[in-house]
Amino acid sequence: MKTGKDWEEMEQYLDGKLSASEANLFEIKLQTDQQLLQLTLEHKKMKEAIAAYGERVILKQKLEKIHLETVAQTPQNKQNKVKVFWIQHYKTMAVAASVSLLVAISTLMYINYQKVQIRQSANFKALRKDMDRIKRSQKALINNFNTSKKEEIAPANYSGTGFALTNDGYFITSLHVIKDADSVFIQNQFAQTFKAITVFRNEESDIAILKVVSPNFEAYKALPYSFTDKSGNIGEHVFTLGFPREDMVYGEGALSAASGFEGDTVSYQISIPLNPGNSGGPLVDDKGNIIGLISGKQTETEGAAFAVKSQSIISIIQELAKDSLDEGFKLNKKNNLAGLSRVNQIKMLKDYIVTIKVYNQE
Amino acid sequence: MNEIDNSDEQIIAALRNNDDSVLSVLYKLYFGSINHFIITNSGSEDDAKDIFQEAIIVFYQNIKDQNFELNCKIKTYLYSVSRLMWLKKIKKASAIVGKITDFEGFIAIDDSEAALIEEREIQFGKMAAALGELGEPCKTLIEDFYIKQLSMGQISEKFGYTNADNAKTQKYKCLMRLKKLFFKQEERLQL
Repeated sequence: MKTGKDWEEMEQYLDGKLSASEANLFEIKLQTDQQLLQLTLEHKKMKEAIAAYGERVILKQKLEKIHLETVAQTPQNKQNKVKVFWIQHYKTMAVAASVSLLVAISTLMYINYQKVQIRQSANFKALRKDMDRIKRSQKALINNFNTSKKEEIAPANYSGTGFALTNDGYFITSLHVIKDADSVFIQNQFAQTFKAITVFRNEESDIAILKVVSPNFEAYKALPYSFTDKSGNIGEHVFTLGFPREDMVYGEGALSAASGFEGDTVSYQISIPLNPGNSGGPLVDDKGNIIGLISGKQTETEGAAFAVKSQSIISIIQELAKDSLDEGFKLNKKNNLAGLSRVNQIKMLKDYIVTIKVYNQE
Repeated sequence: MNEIDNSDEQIIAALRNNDDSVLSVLYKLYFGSINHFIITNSGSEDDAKDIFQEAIIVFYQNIKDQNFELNCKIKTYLYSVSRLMWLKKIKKASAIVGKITDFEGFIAIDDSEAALIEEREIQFGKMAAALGELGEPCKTLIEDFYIKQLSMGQISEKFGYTNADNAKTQKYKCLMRLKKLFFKQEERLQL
């Protein structure tokens, strides 16, 4: 390391403060002392950098001051700002305006399209059964399908599943099952058919409540099951009973997600193989609680079906009790199915699950 | 100096004579056209201010260099430098540079000059960063001595050192640290 004296001498040399003879001596020293030379060069560079930095800072300060004085505050300049904005942005604004117009129009079109299509879209398939189609496809499998049933009742145009909401003739099903109905009948396990009317429909949750109006309908004693107001857990075993065909069909799987089709929070996703006709059936957990109502499935994804959550159903019914139905519903709170084996649960359940038959003039 | 007749020669002579009052003359004469250029080419007035001031600084530094020869009008030179800098800036911000709309003739700033301009900017950035890292009171001490060119006596008074020698020792220590930081910046840039 160089001493303070060397350092001072170097500074004076660089500042040109040394006398000619002293400078000469210093330069001779530089030629022999590599370390001093290095130090001097570095110092020179530093000094220049500091000087350039300082000059620039001062110059910049002066220019800022000039800018304030000459440009920033003149009134004419303020007027110009609007003009300037246009000069600069008119192209962008034109593009932005047309883009937003386009977006608005296409959004409107999309929303409209969705409204019409959402339940019947390619992705989401409501599981009501088109009887004509099923009939054709099953002709080969079920002999005498037409002839054996014909004498009893004309085949319905559509069918789905429903189950008892109360013991006195109220049934719940999916709205899309009965949507276009001219008339609705429910058919129980013993092939007894009763006429029903729709007393309530909710588009959002896709549920409908039917009331049996046939006088020959006998009220149930009491329902063995209840709707749970708790959220189902992902991974829980669940099952359903429904009528994708004339006979009741059991299907089981698991609750696979806490939200439904495209993030729909009123529904669960479930992994139960479902077919047209299953819509409106109950979704039941291991303990026999009703945790949902089967609503549809996603056609392009294997094993993704959906059910409206029991909580949504409960809240809708509670709202309903408040404002429309005179008598109101008393939902059963008691669940007699807990602890039973699956087979026994089904034995107790099956009487309360019905086929919903829909007729319309097509 | 005559306010009405601001010929290029007079402006240059004044600058070389350390008469900085002509800076405001330059500003009044040429800011408008640069402002118009920048704003038309998707900049803001603030951008225009920064670019124009950079151009003036480049011009100023060149003029101070006795070897520099201006071979076009000041107006054209400022426009050309501003144009070059603005292009560089928008290229940095986005890969796609649209068509540049010009309002005036411009000269090509040759590569060696562009490199010199850039080198000055880099050196400035390094020194600013080094001084920033240096912290107080060293930063002010260095600035007072090297930029404001206060004497050691004035500095020791300002900083409350007992005598000029003490101030000198402080300055020496600060300078040593600054040097380290400055050359560290250099290494960083080379990475």
